[in-house]
This record gives sequence, structure tokens and C-alpha cells, in this order.
Amino acid sequence: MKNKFLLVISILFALVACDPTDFGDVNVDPRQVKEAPTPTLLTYALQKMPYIAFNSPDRNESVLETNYLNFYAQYLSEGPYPGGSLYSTRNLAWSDWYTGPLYNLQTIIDYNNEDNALAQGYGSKNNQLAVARILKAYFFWFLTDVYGDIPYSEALKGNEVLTPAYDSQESIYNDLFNELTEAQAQISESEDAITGDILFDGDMTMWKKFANTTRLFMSLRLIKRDPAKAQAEFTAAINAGVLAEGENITYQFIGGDPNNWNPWYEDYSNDNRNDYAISNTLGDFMLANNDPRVFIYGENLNGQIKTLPYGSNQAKNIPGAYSRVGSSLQADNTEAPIFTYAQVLFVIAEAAQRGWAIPEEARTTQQLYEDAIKASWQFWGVYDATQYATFIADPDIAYSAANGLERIITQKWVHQYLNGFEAWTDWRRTGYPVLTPAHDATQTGGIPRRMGYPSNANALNENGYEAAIARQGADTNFTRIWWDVQ
Amino acid sequence: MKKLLLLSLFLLAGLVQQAMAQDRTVTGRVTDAANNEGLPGVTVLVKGTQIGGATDVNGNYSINVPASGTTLVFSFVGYTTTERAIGNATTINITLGIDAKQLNEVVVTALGYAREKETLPYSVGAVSSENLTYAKSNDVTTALAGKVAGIQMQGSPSSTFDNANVVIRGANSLNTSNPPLYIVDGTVTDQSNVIMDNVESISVLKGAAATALYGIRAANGVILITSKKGVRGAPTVELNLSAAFERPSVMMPRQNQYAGGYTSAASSPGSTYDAEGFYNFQYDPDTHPESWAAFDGQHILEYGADESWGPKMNGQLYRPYWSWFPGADFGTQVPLEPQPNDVRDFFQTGVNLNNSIAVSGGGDNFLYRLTYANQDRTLIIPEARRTQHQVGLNSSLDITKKLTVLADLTFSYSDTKGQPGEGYDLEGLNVSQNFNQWFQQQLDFDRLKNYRNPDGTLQSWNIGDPNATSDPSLYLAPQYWDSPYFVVENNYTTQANNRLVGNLGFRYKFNDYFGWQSFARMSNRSRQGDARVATGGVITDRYQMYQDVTREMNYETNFTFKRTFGKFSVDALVGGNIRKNLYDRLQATTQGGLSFPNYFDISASIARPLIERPDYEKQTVRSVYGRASFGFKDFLYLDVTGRNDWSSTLPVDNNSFFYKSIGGSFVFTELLKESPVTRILSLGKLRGSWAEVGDDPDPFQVYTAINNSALYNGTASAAIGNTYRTGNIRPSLTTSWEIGTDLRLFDLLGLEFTYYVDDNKDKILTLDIDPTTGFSSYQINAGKIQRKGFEASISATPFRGGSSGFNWDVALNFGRNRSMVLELEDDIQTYLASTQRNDTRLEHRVGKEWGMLVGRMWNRDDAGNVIVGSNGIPTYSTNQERGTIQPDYTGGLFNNVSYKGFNLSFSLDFQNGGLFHSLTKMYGLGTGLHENTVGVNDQGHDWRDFPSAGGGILVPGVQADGSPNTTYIPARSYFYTALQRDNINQMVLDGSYLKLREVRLGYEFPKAWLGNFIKGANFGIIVSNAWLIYAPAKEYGIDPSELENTWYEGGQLPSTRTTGFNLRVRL
Repeated sequence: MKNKFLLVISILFALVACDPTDFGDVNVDPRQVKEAPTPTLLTYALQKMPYIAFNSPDRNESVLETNYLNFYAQYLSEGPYPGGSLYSTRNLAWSDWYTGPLYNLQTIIDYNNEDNALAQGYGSKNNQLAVARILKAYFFWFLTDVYGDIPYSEALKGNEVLTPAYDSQESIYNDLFNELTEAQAQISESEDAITGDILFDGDMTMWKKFANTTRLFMSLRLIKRDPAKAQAEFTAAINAGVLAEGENITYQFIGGDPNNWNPWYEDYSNDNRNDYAISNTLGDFMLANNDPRVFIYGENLNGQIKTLPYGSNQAKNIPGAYSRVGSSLQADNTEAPIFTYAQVLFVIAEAAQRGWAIPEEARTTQQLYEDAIKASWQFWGVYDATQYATFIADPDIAYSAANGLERIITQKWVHQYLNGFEAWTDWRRTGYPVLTPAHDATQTGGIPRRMGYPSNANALNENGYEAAIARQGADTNFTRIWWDVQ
Repeated sequence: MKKLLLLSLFLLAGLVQQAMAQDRTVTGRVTDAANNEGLPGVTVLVKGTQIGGATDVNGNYSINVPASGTTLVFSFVGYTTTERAIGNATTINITLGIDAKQLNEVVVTALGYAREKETLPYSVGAVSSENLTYAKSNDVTTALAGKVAGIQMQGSPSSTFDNANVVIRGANSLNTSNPPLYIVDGTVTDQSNVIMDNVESISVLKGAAATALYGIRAANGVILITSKKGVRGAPTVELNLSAAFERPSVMMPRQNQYAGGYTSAASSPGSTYDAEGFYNFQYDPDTHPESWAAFDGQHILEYGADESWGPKMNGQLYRPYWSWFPGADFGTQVPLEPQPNDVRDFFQTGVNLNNSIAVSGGGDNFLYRLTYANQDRTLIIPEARRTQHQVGLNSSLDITKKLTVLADLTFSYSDTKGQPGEGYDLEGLNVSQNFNQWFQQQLDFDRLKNYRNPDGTLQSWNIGDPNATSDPSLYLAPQYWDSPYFVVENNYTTQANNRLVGNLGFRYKFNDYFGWQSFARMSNRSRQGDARVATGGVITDRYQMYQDVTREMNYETNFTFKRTFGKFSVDALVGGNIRKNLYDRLQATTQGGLSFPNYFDISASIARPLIERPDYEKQTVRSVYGRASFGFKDFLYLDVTGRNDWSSTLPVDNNSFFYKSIGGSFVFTELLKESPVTRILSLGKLRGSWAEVGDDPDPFQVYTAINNSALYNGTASAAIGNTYRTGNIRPSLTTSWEIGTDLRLFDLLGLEFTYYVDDNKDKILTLDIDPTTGFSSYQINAGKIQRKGFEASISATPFRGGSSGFNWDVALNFGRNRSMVLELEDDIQTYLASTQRNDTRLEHRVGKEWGMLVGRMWNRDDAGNVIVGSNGIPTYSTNQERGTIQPDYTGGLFNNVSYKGFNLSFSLDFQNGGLFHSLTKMYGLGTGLHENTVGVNDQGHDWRDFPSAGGGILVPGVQADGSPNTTYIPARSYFYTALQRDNINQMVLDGSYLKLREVRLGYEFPKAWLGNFIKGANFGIIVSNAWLIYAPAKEYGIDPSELENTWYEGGQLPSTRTTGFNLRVRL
């Protein structure tokens, strides 16, 4: 009897005893890829890129929402639910930037530096490293301009540094200039071009121009903080080679592909939201000057552009009453501008207006200004020689040395429609265009000058956060960041 | 059809009867010593066998005794078990007396083993079938409400098809949702698969010692359901028929004075409104056709507004939205007045028909119970319907004297259409959210019903602005809402659900002491369903379909040993189990609209459809375990258990873990048997236990994920997952202990008390980290979460007069749990559990109570004055702590009175404290719909008037410089903007409630009325969810005992009261 009992007990144990720790591939998720070669990481980072310069509402599956920048630049007004345009967004999450494109780019850098097999055969090490460094600088540049001091040198290190220190914006800027300079020099057109490059399809020369153009735009940020450095970086960027005539960097959204279509299409046409329309600040100014671009920027309502008053808390119903974003800009397959030649000309015009020597540039400030407007009309597809001639002769538009900076920046603002990031930044550093804060702003303090840190930043990294506050000032929308000198 | 069914059942019963072996028959009657009335339900067994039966409603029995049988054993819960020698008798009548000590109460414990309650070192909440079937509940957990100490009801709204949830002993981890494990006859199942009419008893295993043998899965407790089995003897047919009718009971009160619009958002009429607050039609020859010139100056509304801050309804003529649709009504003006329709009228009477038939019986070597149950339920929300069919089998067959084969099987099929949407659904599918948050009282339901125009297009009440354009495609387009009738009739989900839960196994008795049992158990659910959004409404038309399968297989073998050695007794078991889980879901969704109107198929997708596998989980756990219980002289008991698990979800080097428990029980009154103390204290027991429970993570959580992302034009895209994992996590052990006592006074009053402490240390946690690290969370072994609390219950039988006298049972229970977060990780002091609108967050903060609500609050100066901005609106700070979602205490009362054939029972349950966030309140106030948004300001002036005309609201407070606030803000700015800036104070409600859960009045028909064919019949009237007696949240139309979610509601569906009739017949 007892023997029988022991027998079955041993059978039972035998059931689990044949190496019970071995489960084969039960714990492997078939939905995940096992490893990600560097081009796939690059593609992902590039897919997140348009949200910086082509500001749009939240997509369903993404929180890379940047539409608040269109409100700060007063490109758009809100209809039924005024909020962001009344500066209700005090704190903004940044996690999707850091954990998404930035960590991907850091991984490309790490894989290349450690000669990981996942980086082999997708372009030369130099070219891969250079592009990842350039893009990483581009994303960080955006983040520091929005928040000021941010985690940078200790960021993106996983569990090695769980609470990265916040770097001063000054040190971040210094390092970004350095990175862009080194990285564009690291590019070698004779070596294998990178793959997974959905922006330039491996055109390494364009990556150089992208890096130098970024540096060019960055340089003018320092105009009040450190004019000498601003000029030096500006000159160096021009000399290294920025976008030339006819060259525009755009991001192509893909029609019919819900994962890659224009977020404005998603908002208006797929989600049937009608929350935003062109603001009276921009629209009325353009209408007053018969600016043909306004019919690209705004929805044509029986031959009219109807602008929505900016900054009122009075809810308004939009369809038919106010012009939403223009039809080509809300198409599913829009080509979104990242950097345009017109912008480059406006930047150079501003430098010339400040009396800087412009390398290899024979044009006067006025010529640069007018050519910039022409490039803009060409970019937006409305150029007509006669109409253009009338436009630049209009006393409200024509260049005058007396208010040269205002004219340049105001026309740059008109050109940069939906690039609230750049326009708001121009306003912060020059005060132009002259903007009146929202009448019914829910915060008193004018137009925001920065974005508050994520609302859980303090809880997750108290020391870093507190040090940044101590250095930079209170975590409000109205504290000026380092380069934003009074 | 029904006749045919009955006929076949009788045929079956006849066959069964034929099969029974006939040795000799003993008959008799069992009566209650107290009153000499017959005692029904007494078990009569031939000693040493499983042969026997039970007494009928009159106490009569008749059993077949084999030649070897010498003694009959009569037993009945609460009565002294009595034996009688048979001798040559053919009739044995016997009288049973009440067992003073109640020592033989048996409860079902882990792995289905029935054990005497006095031997247990921990508390088990047991509910027997009589207390379950008084009121015919739809689900297991609702049936437990108010009957077991230490559980918190977390319903789902009673107006849905969802089952209610319970939390046992509060939170035990960082998870917000802590559902228990449901087990029927040893096989894991889900609530909706349980055939309620088959439930014999429910045991609620609460602490780690009680659940130790279930291991890691039972951290939130186990609800152990034992179903009714066949009984040897003549077949019995039980019919249980019920019909119940459901109406909304708790609803939000609405204001009936103001129409839709945004008027009260403005400080002055400006150019938008007239002095009365009307938005008027302004004829513009550039925009409008000449024929509209006559409309100039007509009162219209801001139709695009879905808020109720419009003009006061005084019967003024105005243009309703439908007067702008082409047709006969175009141009009509009607008086602006509140419509008499109540939202209640939108809801229909829900009907729930719930019927079952069960046939049970058995012969010398077999037992069976067959059940068919059928439910057909419609909800108060129109168009929602579920039909469910369930077939159940419980059977056993003795192949030899030693070997018994057992098979249990339940198959359920349900078909659901129109499961109502819950929560803040921006896609307009939740009509309740529409009514409570974004609705207007000038709207007429009869008009809303006719939502389709003659040309087939839709008529929304929420259209555009005819002042802006005369293009009907623009101004007639729906803005945010369709007619609620369109939504429920056209946009709906369907789901077909198949579940098979069952087991097949055997028991083998080596001898009187050693036993062996092995089972294969399967729990399989496969579903398929779809969701559609019809063409023409505010949301892009869409179609989604999905299929999923959830499967659990268990292969279990146990050896048992039970023997008494003189003063000592041993009851031991050792066993092993292999468990395999799978969950797999596939779904496809159209993108960018449907290619043909209302063409509901994936191929209708205009853009590339989204094909996903959103869920996939797979896990295997191998286990060996054992338990040994030792007894000494019926008063001292010791229990030890041990279990080792190997889990596939842990790293290979760390996937084995062992844990153990020990406990004891001491019946001290056994030592005082002759002492006068026992006259007062009839029973006294002390118990204590200590236990460990291991823990493993969910599948696929060992390494940092690399996620395939959406292709860009054929180019692959991938991202590194957002959770940093080292690949080195290890299983963690929770330790817990509990002590308690069971007392019985004067044979009348039972008292139970339990105190417990659980320490969850070194758990596998996924903690939020600073995302600038490149990861938003970090998986580590860390933390310490402690829960402690107590449970108490009192049960009394003030009167027991036997089956036809006056009986009264009452039970009161009470529990309190406190969970605290003692440690997380050095750099990490906060765990963000969940976020709701307006930055309202649920966080677990170190050193604080678990479940802290955190969010926005108005700023106040040192004197407590609200600090307002220069615009008169209070300034605010974020990250302010409000309090915990944990209730202070929960409990219930169960009461049952019977007299002759009548029986009246009711149960109450209550909760004190526990906070939740309410979007219904937030938007009910914010949009001007709730009746509290009507009133007068401190000047006695209607606050909805323009501040420029003396209206508006002055927030009492000071400006930054200390000067008093003097700015009157428009009413909407107060109720929408200002109150939401104090969100964590204003929009968080107290979850306290006291509820009369159910009332049943039943009548047992006298045998004399029924004739020979019918053995018993009982008719009952039941009111479920009878009365929410007290709840602060009632003011906002919310029943906190059935929240949509654990700590918030985003558009709660109404609570309902159900009145029903129930007829039970035994044949």
C-alpha cells in the first residue's frame, strides 16, 4: 500500500521535476520585434519631427501636441472651447519627446559607438552618428526653447541616472552649437549614406544643410543675451552652408494612411472637430494688405476669409462662420514645412538689418526682405509678379529702415503660418509682431514666455526640479528663459 | 417547446428510477424537537456510505438501504447529528434538537475541501444557499452585498449588463483594480458564467493563510462557489421562474429655467446678445437669401452650444433648431419654455426574464444534476438586449467502490446588443453623459425621436449658426451631438460570448485514510463582436470587429490523508498543478470612414484599415504544494501549508519560489465544559495565522520591449519601450498575519472578530520615473505597502420556532481596512496610478494612505482667504492632496424573518468615506444643467444675468495685494472656469452611502394546496437596489455603491431599482 502511495507521489513530482524552470519561449511576446536595427529607430524619430515646426492638435495616439504654440503666435483662435488661447495650459508633459525620438536617437548613437551589429550595414558609422547627433540637437533645441533649463547632459541614460540634473540653458546652447558643428563636419558624402532616412532619402548634403540651418536659427536666439556669440555662430553657419534658393525642407504626410496622415486632417476631417479657425490677428492683417496667402492659410467661405476674434472667452461656433485652416493645409497628404528658404532669407535680412557682415551676400537689407517675401509667396504657391510688386509697394509692407526689424519679423511671422514655435520665439526675442495678450486670459501676465515643467516633474525629480527653479525662477508661464533677456 | 422539454425530463427521470438498485426501503419523518414540526432538508445517510437522501418539505424521507447498512445518520446544520440503528425497522421517526455549540458548521476552503469551521486558523466568509436565493441576484458579488464582513462593493451601474465587483480587505498592491479570483467547484471561471440558481454556497477566502494553497493568483482573495449536487433518491425537478422590471432610481436634478446657449459666459450683452440675453437672427444680404429678410430680429439660440447658459425661458417666441431644416416646419416660431419631458422618459422599463430548470438525483453509484438556465434582459437604455443560455451538468459515477469519476460542465452562450457606453466618451456614444453633462431643457423628446429628415439626412439639435451662412450643409451639420435616439438606435455594439467551464477527474480511495484525486480543468471563453457608428452623424462612420479567446487549463493531482490517532487527528494533502493561461485578441477597425453609407464591414474602410492584436498573454505556472492539519482533543488545531511555484513570467534563473503558512486554533470553551462560564459563553475560539504569498509579473515583462511602430511608406519603424527593465527581477513574498476569535453567547449570539496585517515588501513594481531618463517607468523589486484592518460580525437568532413557527435571523457585519504606502524607492516617492480630466490624479505617495487624490486647488492666503486674480477668478495650485479613495469602513446588515409559510428578508449595506472624482458634477455644473446653477448672488440679483446688469458671481476673496475682490464674474466663468480650478475640492465627492440593497417577501405554499405531483412551491416578490437611503453624491445623481470605475465616474449611467416576481417549484 505504502509503496503504491510513494509511487504516485513520485509520478506527481516527476511531472514537474523534469526541469520545471524551463518554459521554452512561452514568455516571448510575438507582437514585439526582438531587436531594432538603427534605420528603424531613425524612421521613428523622423516621424515625430513635423510636430515641432508644423504645430497641430493632439493626434489620437500621440501626445506630441504643439497647437498651443499656434495660439501664442496668434495664428489661430479657438471657437467653442476657448482654453489654450486663454493660456490655460500651464504645465506640459515632455515624456513623449524624451522617451520617443530622443531615446531612439541616443540608441542609434550607442549602437554605433559600441559597434553593435544592429548598426552595421545601414550607412557608415560617421554618417549614422552625425545624423543622430544633428536630430538629437534639433529636438533638444525645441525643448530648451519651450521650457528653458531641462535635463540634457545626464538625460537619456536609463537607470544609470534616475534623476538627471537640469542643465542651464546656456550650457545646453553651448553644447548644441558644438554638436551641430562637429556633426556636420563628421558627415562624409563619400562614405555610405544612411538608410531609413524618410526625410532626405540618404542625401547627406542635405543633412549638412539641415544642421547648419538649425545653427543659423539658433544663433539669433542669443541676440540679447550674447550678441557677439550670436553673430559668430550666424557667420559660421552661413559659411558652413545653409539652405540655398529654391531649397525647402518639408515633411511629407501620407494620404490614406491613418498612421501617417496630417494631424490637421485627423482633427477636422476624421474626428469632425471644429475647434479652431484663423485668428483675426493674422487674418485681418493679411486681408488689409490683400495678401493672397490668406486664402491658403484660411478656409475659403464663398470667396471670403472670416477670421475669428482672438483671446475672447466667448464661445463661438465655427463652421461656416469662421475660416478654419486652409484646405491644402488640412489635406491628409500635406507637405509640412520644416525649414524654408524664405525663413533663411528673413534670418539673413534680420542680420543685415542689425548691420552684420553677411558672407557672400550682395543684397541690401531691403532686397533681402523683399526676396524673402517673394520666396514665401513661391513656397505657398501664390506668386504673381504684378500682385507681388503691388504688395511690396504697399506702405504697410514696404521696407523702411526706421522700422526695419518690425517689418522683417512681422512678414516672417506671416510666412511661418502654423510654425508657432518659430513665430512665438521671434516674438519673445524681438517683441515683433506686436501682439496683444488675450483679452480674457485666465492668467494675468501677458502672453506666456515659456511652458511650465510637466506637472509631475517635481514629484519625479525633486532635486533637479528645485535646482532649476532656483536658477531660472518660478515655474510659471511668465518666467523668462536664459536667452529671453528683458 | 417547453412542454416537450418537460416531457423529456420526466422520461429521463423515469429511466433513472429504473436504474436504482433496491435492497430495502426505510421511511420516516424527522421533526424539530422544539415544536414537533417536520424538518425539511435533513440529510439521512447510511453510516459508512454515501448512500442516502434528504427529507422533503414536511420532514419525510425514504431511502434505500443496502443489505450491509446497519445505522442511519441524520444531520442538519444547526442541529445535533443523531445516529439510529436500523435493525429490522422499516420506519424510523426521529426528533432532532438544536446543537448548542454549532461545532459542526462546515465551510468550503481552498481547493474545495470542506472543513469544520472550528479547526480553521483564519476567517472565512461563508454564505449559504438559503441566504443567496432569498433574493435572486444577477451576479455573485451583488448577492454577497451586506453579507460578508470586510468587502467593499464596487458595482458597475445597475443599468448595464456588467457584473458588480468587490474588493476584499482593501488594496493590496499599487493596482487600482483588485478583483478577487472566482472559482466554481475547483475551476476558475468568471462571474457571468455562474448559474445563480445552482449555487449551493459561497465561501469568501480573504487572507493569505486562507488562500495560501492558491498561491500567487489569490492575492486579492478568492470567491469560492460550490454548486448544488445531485442527491441519491428520486429525481427532483426544480423550476425557478422570475420576471423583474427595472426603472431608473437615482438621477441628477436639472434646472428648468434657462435654455441652451453661452449667454451667461459674457459680462455684458455686447453686440452678441440683446438685453434679455437672446442671440438673434441678423439678416445679412451678402450671406442670406432675400426670403430670409423676414427673419431679421427673430430670437434664435446659439444652436452650436451644447451648454445651458442661454436665455431665460419665459415663453418668448423663438426659432427652434428644427425650424431651420427645409420642409413644412421651416420658419416656425414657438414659445421658448422648458419641455415637460423628464430624461426619465427617455429610458424604458427594463425587463429581465430569468428562468431555470434543474433535474437532480442519483442512484447507488451515481449522482447528477442537470440545469438549463435562460436569461433575456433588456435595459432601461433603449435597444439594449442580452439573451443568455446556460447548460450545466454536475455528475459523479462510482466505477468501483474505490474509484469515482466526476465531471462538471457549464456552457454559457450569450448574445448582447447595445451594451451602453460608459465614461466620458468624446465620441458621443454614451447617451447618459449627454443627458447629465451636455443637454438642454428646451429640447423636446418627441422632436428628438424624429431625427431623420425626409431626404434621409439626420437632424441634430446641436446644429451650426444660420447667422454665419445660409449654406445648409454648413449650418445644419451636427456640431458635437446627434439625437440620443439616433445614437441608441444606430450606433451600437454586439457581442457573442461562448464560455465552457468544466472539469473531468477521478477520486480514488486507497483505504479509509488515503485518497487520490486528479482533475483536468478547463475554462475557455471565446468572443466575437463588433461596433458600429452609422453614417451621417457627428462622428465619422466606422466599423470594428474583433475576436478573442481567454483560456485557462489546469492539471491537478492531490493526495490526501485523514486519520485520527487517539487524541490526535491528522488531515493532510500534497499535490501538484500545472496551469496554462492564454489571452489573445485580434481586431480590425475601418479608418477614414465607410465607402458606402452604413456599409458595416471591414472592407468598407476608406483608408487602410487598422488590423491589430492589442492583447496577447501567455503564461505557464507549475506548482507543488501541501497542507497538514493536526488536531488534539477537539480543541487545539494546527495548520501548515507550503507551496513552490515555477512561473514562466520570471527570468529563468529566478523563476522558482517557495512560500509557507502556519496557523492554529484553540477552542478554549472545550476546556471549560463543566464550568458555569459555558452557560453564557457557549463557544469560544481563538485563532491566529501567519502566511507568505509569492508574486510574479504579468507575461512578457522581463526585458525592455522593442515595439514595432507604424510603417512610413514601406519603411520600417521601431521604438524602444518606455519601461526600463533590467532583466533581473525576482519573485517577491508578501507576509501577512491575522488573529481572531469566534464566540457564541447564550446559544443565540455569534460574534466573530479578525484583525490582520499584510506587508507587501520588495514587490515587482513598475514605478514612474523622470521621463528625461528616456523611460517613463522602471521595473524593480522595491517598496512596502502595508494593509491592516479588522472585520467583525454579529449573527443572532433571536427566535427559532422551527419550520412553521416564528423564526428570526439577523446578521451584522463591519470591516475597516487601511492601506499605506510605506516605501517605494529612494529617489521615487510617488506612484501615479491614473489621471483624469483637469489634472486630477490618483497617486500612491510614500508615507501617505494608499490612493491619494491629487489635483488643483484654489490658492489661499494665510488667513484662508481665496486669492483671486485681477480678473476676479481665483488663482490655483496644482499637486494638492485631497484625501484617499479608501473608505473608512464598510459593512452590512442581513435580516430574515419567517412565520408559517411567510418569509421576509432584507439586506442593507453601507460605506463611510472614500472619495471619488465626478465628471457628472463637473460638467453638470460647468454647463449650467444642474439645478444648483440657478440662483441669486450676494446682492440678491439673478447671477445668470450679465455682470454689467447686476448679475454675475463675486468669489469671496482677496487679490494678491490683499485688497478684497470686487469683480463679479459671469455665472459660467464661476461654474466652469473657477470651480474647475478648485477641482480637487469641488469635483471630488464623498463615497459614503447606506443602501437598502434588496427586500424579498416570500410565501411557501402549504403542501396541502399542491397535491402529490408538486413537492414544494414558493412565490416571492423581490425589490433589488431598493433604496439608496443616504449618499451625499445622490445630489449629483450618483450611487456610489455602483461607480463606473474605482475612483471616478466620467458620465455615470443611472442607477436602477428592480422589482420582480419569483416562483420556485419543486417537482
